Amino acid sequence: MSGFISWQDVDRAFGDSKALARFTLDVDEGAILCLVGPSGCGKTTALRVLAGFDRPDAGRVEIRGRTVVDGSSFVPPERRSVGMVFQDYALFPHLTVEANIRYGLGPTQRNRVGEVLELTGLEGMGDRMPHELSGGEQQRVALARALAPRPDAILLDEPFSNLDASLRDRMRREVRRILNDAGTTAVLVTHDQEEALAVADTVAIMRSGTVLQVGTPTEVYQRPADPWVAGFLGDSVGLTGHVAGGKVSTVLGSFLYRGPLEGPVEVMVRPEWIEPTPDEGGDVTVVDREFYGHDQMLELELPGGTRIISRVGPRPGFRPGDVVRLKVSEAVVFPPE
Amino acid sequence: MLAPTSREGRPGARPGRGPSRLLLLAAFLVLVPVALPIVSLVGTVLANLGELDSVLSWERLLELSARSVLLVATVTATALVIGTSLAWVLVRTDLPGRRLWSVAVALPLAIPSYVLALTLLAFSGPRGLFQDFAGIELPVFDGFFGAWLALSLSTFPYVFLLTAESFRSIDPSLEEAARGLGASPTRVFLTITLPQLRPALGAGALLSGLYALSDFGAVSLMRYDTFTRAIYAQYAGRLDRTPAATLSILLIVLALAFIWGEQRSRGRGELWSRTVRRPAPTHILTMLGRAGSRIWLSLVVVTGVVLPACVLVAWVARGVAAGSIVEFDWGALGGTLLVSALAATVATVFAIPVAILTVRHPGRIATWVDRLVGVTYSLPHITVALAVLVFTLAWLRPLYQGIGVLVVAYAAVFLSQAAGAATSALRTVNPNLEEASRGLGHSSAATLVRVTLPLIWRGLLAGAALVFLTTVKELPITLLLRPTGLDTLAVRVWSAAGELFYANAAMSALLLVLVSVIPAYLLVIKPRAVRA
Repeated sequence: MSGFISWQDVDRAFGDSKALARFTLDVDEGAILCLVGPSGCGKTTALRVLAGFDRPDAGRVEIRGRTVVDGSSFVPPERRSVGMVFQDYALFPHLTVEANIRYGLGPTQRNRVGEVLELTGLEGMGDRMPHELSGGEQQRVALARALAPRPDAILLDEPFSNLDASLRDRMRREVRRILNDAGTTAVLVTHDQEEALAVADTVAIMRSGTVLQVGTPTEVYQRPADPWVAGFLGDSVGLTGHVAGGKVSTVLGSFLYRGPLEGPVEVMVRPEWIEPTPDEGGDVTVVDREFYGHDQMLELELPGGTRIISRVGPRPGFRPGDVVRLKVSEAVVFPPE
Repeated sequence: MLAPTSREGRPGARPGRGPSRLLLLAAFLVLVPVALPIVSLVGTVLANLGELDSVLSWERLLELSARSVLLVATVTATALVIGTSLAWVLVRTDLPGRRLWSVAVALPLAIPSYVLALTLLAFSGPRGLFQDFAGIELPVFDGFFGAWLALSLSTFPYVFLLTAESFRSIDPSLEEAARGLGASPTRVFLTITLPQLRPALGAGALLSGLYALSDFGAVSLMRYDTFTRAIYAQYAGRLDRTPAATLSILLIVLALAFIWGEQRSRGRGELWSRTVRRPAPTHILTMLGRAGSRIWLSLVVVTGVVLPACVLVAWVARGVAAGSIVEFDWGALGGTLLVSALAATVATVFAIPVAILTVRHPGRIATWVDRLVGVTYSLPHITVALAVLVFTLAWLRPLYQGIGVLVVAYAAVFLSQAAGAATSALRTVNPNLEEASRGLGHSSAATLVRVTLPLIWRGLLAGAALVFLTTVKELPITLLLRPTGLDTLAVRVWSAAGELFYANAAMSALLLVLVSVIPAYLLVIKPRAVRA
C-alpha cells in the first residue's frame, strides 16, 4: 500500500551526478512532510519531479493513487493538482495580489480568493502589487495562490530561506497553522534541520539522492538511523562502546541494551541526555562553559582525558574548574564503522 | 575592490565635489551642436509663423500623416511578430543549430533599408531579376508594399535581439508556478511570458516605429510619400526652407508622440529580472514544430539576407557583362571611409566629457545632458540635416558645404552611441584611482590622459566602431550636408537606384554591405547571439 504521494525507485541524473538514486518515499494524506538534507542531496529534484517540472530517468511517481509519471506516461504539471511555493515566491510581478491568487481558479471560484486571503491573513491586500509587499507578505501570497485551487498537495521549496531570522520563526508557525487549517498534504524541502523538526509531522532525511530515514521529528532525533543522521540533526557526542551480556559499556558508564549487536559498537549520546550534578567527590571536570540564557553548554573532561559536551538548564554551579558527577539518561547504539 | 557608491547609489560617482569649470565648459561646447538642430528648426518656424497656412494644405498634411502612421503601424507590428517568434524558437526550443540561425537572422542589421529597397526593386518588375530567371514578370515591389517589406526586414532584427535577451532573463519559476496552478502552455505564454516580455516589446516597437517614421532612403526609392520624402521634396524644390522646416517640426512632434505613447502604455506592475540561476525551460519541438520553425526561419533569412545578397551580386555581374560597369570609381568608398572615420573620432572625443559628467557627477546637469543627447539621437535624420543646413546658411556661411559641418552633424546625432559606450566603460573605473593620481601631484588633465583614458580605451573604441558603422549606412544627413564633390557609397546607391541604374547601384551597395557587415557582426550580433 503506497501513500497519498509516493515516489517509487525514482532515478534522475544530471550528466554524471545522480540527483536521485532509487529514491523511494511515501507521504500520508494531510501530513506535512519535510525533506531535509545538505545542499545538493537531490531534495529539490525530488520536489520538481513530483510537480512535473522535471522528468525522471526511471521510476514512478503517484499522487492520490494516480500515476503521474513512469516509464511510459507523463502528466504535465498543469494537470497534477499540486501547488508549488517557490523559494523566490515567483509572484507574477505584473498582476495584483488578487489576480495572482485568481490565476489558478476557474470563473466560478471567485469567492475562493476572499477565503484564502483570510486564511493567510492578507485581508485588504488584494489590490497591492507584489513589489509593494514585505517578504513575509509575499510568502503569504505565494502560499495563498498555491492553496486557492484546493490542490491535492502543496510543495514548498526552501520557503523560509529568503526571510530574515526574526521573521522566519514567525512564518514557520504561521505556515504550519495555515497548512493545518487547510488540511492539505504538504511536502517541504529544506536544508535546515531545525526548521524540519519544527514544522514537520514526518521528517525524511536525504543524502546523495536517497532517503536515509523517515519518522516523526522525535523519532528521528531520538533514534537516528546512523551516526551521520545523528550528527546532521543536532549536536551529538560520539563514543566507542562494547556490548556484552545485555549491556553496553562506555567511558560514560554502562547502559542496558536490548538489540542484536555484540562486541565493539559506536554509541551516540545527545548533550542534553548527559546530566551533570555539582559534587566535590566527582571525577569529571568542567573545562569550559557557554551560557545562552535558556540553557548552557558545558565542556567536560572525563577521567581518561576524553572531552564531551553537555547541555543543561541555566543552573549555577558549573564554572570552569568545578568538579561534577554525571548521569546519562539515554544512548543510541550503532554498529561499528 | 568595490567602487565606492555615492548617496544616490550610482556606482563610480565621486562624492563631495561638483564638476570642475573645465569639465562644464567642455560639456557645454559638446552640447552646442547637439542642441542646435532643435533650436534652429523651432527658430525658423517661429520666424515665419504668419506664412504657414500658405505653405501646405491641410489635406496634404493629413494625407502625409496618415501614410506615415500606416507605415509605422504595419512595420512595427510585422517587426514585433517576426522578431518575437524567431526569438522564441531560437531561445526557448531545442531546434538544432540555434546559434548559427541566430547570427543569420540578425544579419540584416548590416544592410541599410535603402539597400534592401534597392534589391527588392531590382528583383521584381519588368526588368527585374525574377523575370530574367523565371520568365514571369512580377509586379514591381514599390509603393506601400515595397516600403513596408523593406522596413520590416530592416527592423525585425532589433526586436529579435531585444526579445531574445528578455526570453533569457525571465525567471523560469514564474512559468512553472503558472503551470502548477493549472495553466496550459498557451495560457502561460499569453498571461505570464508575454507580459514579462513587455519592456522588450515596447523598446522593440519604439525602435522599429521610429525607424519607419524617420526612414528616408527606402520610402523615397519606393516612391511612397511620407513626411521624410515630402521634406526632401520641399527642400529640393524650393529656395525657401520654411515649408521643409515646418514639416520637420511636425515629424518631430509625431516622433515624440510615439515615444510618449510607448511610455504611457507601460503597466503598473514592476518587472524585475532576477539573476537567473537556472536556464529557462526548453520547449521540446515535435517533428511538425521543427519543420515549421525551419520553414519560418528559412523564409526570413532568404528574404532578408540571401535574396538581397544574390540580387546585388547578380546585378553586378549583369553590369560587368553589359559593359556598364567598366571600372569602378573607388572615390565613393574612400569618401565613406573618410567621413565615417572622422565622425567616429569626433563623436568619441565629444563622448569623454559627457561620460565624465554622467558617471562622476550625477545630478541635474548630467540628467539634462543625457536627455538632450538621447533626444537628438532619436530625431529623424532628415530633420537634423535640414536644421543644420538652415543654421549654417544663416550664421556660418563660410562653413557651408564644408566637411567640418558634415562630420560635426554626424557626431552630434550619434553621440548617444559613443557616450553610452564611454559611460559604461567609465563606470568600471574606481574613482579612487583618479584621486590617487591627483594626490601624487598630477593635474586633472594629466590624470585623464595617464590614468582614465588608458583604462577605458576599449570602451571608447567599441563606441567609435558603432558610430563608424552607423555613419557608413547613414543617408539623409550625407545627402544634404556633403561638400560638392564628396561622394559616398550611400549617396551613390541612392542616386543610381533613383535613376534606375541598378547595376551601378548594386556595385556600391555590395561594397557598402561588405564594409558594414564585419563591425555589425563583431559589435552587435556576436555579443548577443544565442548560446547554443
